[in-house]
Amino acid sequence: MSKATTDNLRKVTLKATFAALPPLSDVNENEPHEPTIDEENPAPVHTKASGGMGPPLTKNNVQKVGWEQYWDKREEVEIEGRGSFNVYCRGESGPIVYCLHGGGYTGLTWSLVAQSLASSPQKYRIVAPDLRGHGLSRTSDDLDFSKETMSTDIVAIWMKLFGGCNERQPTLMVGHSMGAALAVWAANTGGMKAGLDGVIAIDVVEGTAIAALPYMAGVLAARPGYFHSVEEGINWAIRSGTCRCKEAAAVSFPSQLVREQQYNCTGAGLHIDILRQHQQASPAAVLSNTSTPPAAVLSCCNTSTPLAADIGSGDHEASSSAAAGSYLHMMNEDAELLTTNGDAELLTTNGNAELLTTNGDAELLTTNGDAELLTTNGGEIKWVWRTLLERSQPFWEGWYRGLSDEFLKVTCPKMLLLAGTDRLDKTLSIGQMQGKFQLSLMPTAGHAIQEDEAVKTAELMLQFLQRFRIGMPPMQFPKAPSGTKPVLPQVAGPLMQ
Amino acid sequence: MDSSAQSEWNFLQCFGERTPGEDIQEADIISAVEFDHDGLHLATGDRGGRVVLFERVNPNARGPGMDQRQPAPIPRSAAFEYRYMTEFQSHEPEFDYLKSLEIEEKINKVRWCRSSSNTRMLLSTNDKTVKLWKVYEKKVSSLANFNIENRGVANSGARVNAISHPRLARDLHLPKVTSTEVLLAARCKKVYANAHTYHINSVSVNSDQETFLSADDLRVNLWNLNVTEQSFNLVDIKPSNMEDLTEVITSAQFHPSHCNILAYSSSKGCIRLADMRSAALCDRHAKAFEEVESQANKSFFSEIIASISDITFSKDGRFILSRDYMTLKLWDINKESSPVATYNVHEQLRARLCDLYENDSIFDKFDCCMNGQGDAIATGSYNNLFRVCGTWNGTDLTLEASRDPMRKRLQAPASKGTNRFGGARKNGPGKWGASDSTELGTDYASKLLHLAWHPEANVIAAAASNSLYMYCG
Repeated sequence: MSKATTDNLRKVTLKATFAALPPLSDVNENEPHEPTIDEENPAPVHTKASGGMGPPLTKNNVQKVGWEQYWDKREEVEIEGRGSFNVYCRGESGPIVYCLHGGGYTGLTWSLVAQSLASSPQKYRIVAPDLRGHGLSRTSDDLDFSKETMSTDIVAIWMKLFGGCNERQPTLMVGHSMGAALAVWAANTGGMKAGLDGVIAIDVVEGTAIAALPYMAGVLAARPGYFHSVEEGINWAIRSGTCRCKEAAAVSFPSQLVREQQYNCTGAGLHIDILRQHQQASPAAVLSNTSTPPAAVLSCCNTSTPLAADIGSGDHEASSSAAAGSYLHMMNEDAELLTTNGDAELLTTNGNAELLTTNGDAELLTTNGDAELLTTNGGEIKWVWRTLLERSQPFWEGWYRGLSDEFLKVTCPKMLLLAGTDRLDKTLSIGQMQGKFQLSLMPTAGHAIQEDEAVKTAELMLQFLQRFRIGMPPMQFPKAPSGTKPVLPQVAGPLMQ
Repeated sequence: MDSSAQSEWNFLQCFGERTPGEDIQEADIISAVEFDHDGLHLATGDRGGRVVLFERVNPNARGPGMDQRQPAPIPRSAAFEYRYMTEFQSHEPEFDYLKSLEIEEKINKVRWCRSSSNTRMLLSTNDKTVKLWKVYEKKVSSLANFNIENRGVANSGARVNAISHPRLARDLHLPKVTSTEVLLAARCKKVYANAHTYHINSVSVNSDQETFLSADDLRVNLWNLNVTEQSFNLVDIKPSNMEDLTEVITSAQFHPSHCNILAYSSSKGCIRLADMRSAALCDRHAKAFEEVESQANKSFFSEIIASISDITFSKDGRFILSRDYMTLKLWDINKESSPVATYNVHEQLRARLCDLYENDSIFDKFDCCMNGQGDAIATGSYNNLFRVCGTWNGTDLTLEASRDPMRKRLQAPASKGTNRFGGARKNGPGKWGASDSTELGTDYASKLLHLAWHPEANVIAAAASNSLYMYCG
């Protein structure tokens, strides 16, 4: 004890200043950050650390991470009459783990969980779709968030992916928040009876959710309306506590944002919504809405997908009613805009065409032949929320009303994964005491448990899968050889008469 | 230990050297060394709370034919000899009941006060308390031939209580003085206590010989030597929120001739000069000496090795010498932006800063000293080495504090110093160069933290663990 008191304050102070420096590994190696394309960051918002012993990196400067690091592939599942759903997949064989994200999230919220599950000795197929109105899914009505529609979507996607097989496809459905509610509704429709073997609901309790609904509008309003860059958004998410796990935020949060660029082309507005394209460059259908600004709908979703757009070749008359303000929605900054003939043609009322491209090689023709190429510097870049959760408000009550009873009615094994015990309502408490479902707690996590505590979540899912033998043949009980007489236990003590 | 042609440093004496194989008692490790103002006495403090005094032998010896009225010339070499004078227990270990902390009795600093008479006054301090000691000669006479014979008579004036009725063997006679001896006694005259919350790291007596300062990690207090109940706070760098603490005071000293100027150094590598005439509280420094390190040289340990462990004024008060972990810096009082000279002490350790941080050696506090003329400086290092540098002529020596001439070292060149005033560096054959730590490795446990330079002669007293070595150059 005596030695510790000597010179303590000086040593402690010096050690504290030393500890405040960034760790050795960060600054010594040249930190590779994602190559950002010019169009996205003309004026970098954050000062990037100069290599070597420059000013210390701000610890929160999290860079975006692509989905490819966590998922094997990304499929577009086309469903007749419903739309095209973007689905992330990992794993080739094994029982299916069908993960449904929550409101405002996308399928990438399950990235870390998928990674943990993939490292288990058992093989599973992890499937995480982007639900209607989220992520890169494109449906006929992106604003129809009703539980009926969305649960039908869920069943339809599953049927499309796995319904065609002859053999049974054991499936564990995992849902988070809104996704869990939809999973329960979907399970009870019976559409997935062919394979549904388990349901895990993450952090959704009817009573708590309904009680929180009045506050949700305020919570949503408190979010920033837009960000200047994806990194700014990620760092906001971490700082504000929305995402507690930096790694998860880096992959999941960017997919929640979408780019919005405003052009000021002298009063004429251009609304370009770019339709998503498949690998082959087929011409995009152009939707032009006469009442609103002409919209050539293009959605770029993939870095490697060149987009072909044949824009408004004959619609320039309709564009005369364009209103001020134009928006270019691009899901991904790396999209290239090509047309069928190699030139992007964009027509506006006044003949000034402005088109945003990654490499500046687009040519723009207008009615009068003037081409102007707008680079990112010309307009204000905004990254806005992909999902307009505010618009989903009418459907909130529908998601959660009656959920607890429905959850208990699900016939297959169920698990509820919560962040705190005080979040159980009466129905679920009774159900849990009756042993109708398994309850797991994760007090260290926030609302998005699958992001905050991905490894533990994956462990719980694995335990669930193994406990209920999902995808495994039923247990063989040893049978006594025939002719064995059952032996009854001997009564000890006097018999009661 | 022969040295180069330019300046010779010879081993003079050694006090308390341990024999090989003997364990060092922690309490014997010397923690403070100080010459008095004329160099006649030397005081050392150790971790056991004792102060040991040495005095010079035959200071007034003059050769035949010399004028007896002139002050004795400073002798060279073998004529300089010290001998053990006395010792006393200055501080005892205490226990702070409020904080449940032990207060070590280790002597952090010893400072002599000038006195005109034969008595010697010195200040010694541990972590919490400063004490003023008076060392004086006491004549003790032994008497004999008492009238009343009693068994076990105590000498030196002790009273003899004779209960029994004596029978006078003969007539009354006077007791006789048989011998007189002069003993050295030490008495604690003043105790300056309870003024510091943090550990006192330095005391310094003012040139007016009436006041002195005591400095702890965050405050510097001013005392009058005669008053123990009161002290005045001069500098207070304690932040209102201790979480914001980034800098502590590491050393403080008064100017040798101006009684209003004091200098204090900090753990951030800044020396501040404060003038007591400007304000009662000298929080705003009059001058701040700090060398801004270029970005290119910054490393992770820059902050830690910039911490100054000791400062000292030159005798004329024009220069300040500061010691941080890797270098010695000589500052001209008139130039605040950068030192006039920087001397590297153990440059070969710069690559090993990580290891030094691991074993906490990077926090060692080394003393530095300057000679009376101001043309040479010295400081300690590891492996019981100490370095003596000439300030102007560029000489650079590394000496080992050991009396064993059989200890062989690699003849590696001493590390370079960026001395602007001299290019020549002397490194003759047979020199005990600083080991490259390739053969033996640097022994971080044997560090030479404390050393002192005689105020007039080129005599250095260097303390290596429990031994005191005297060198003459």
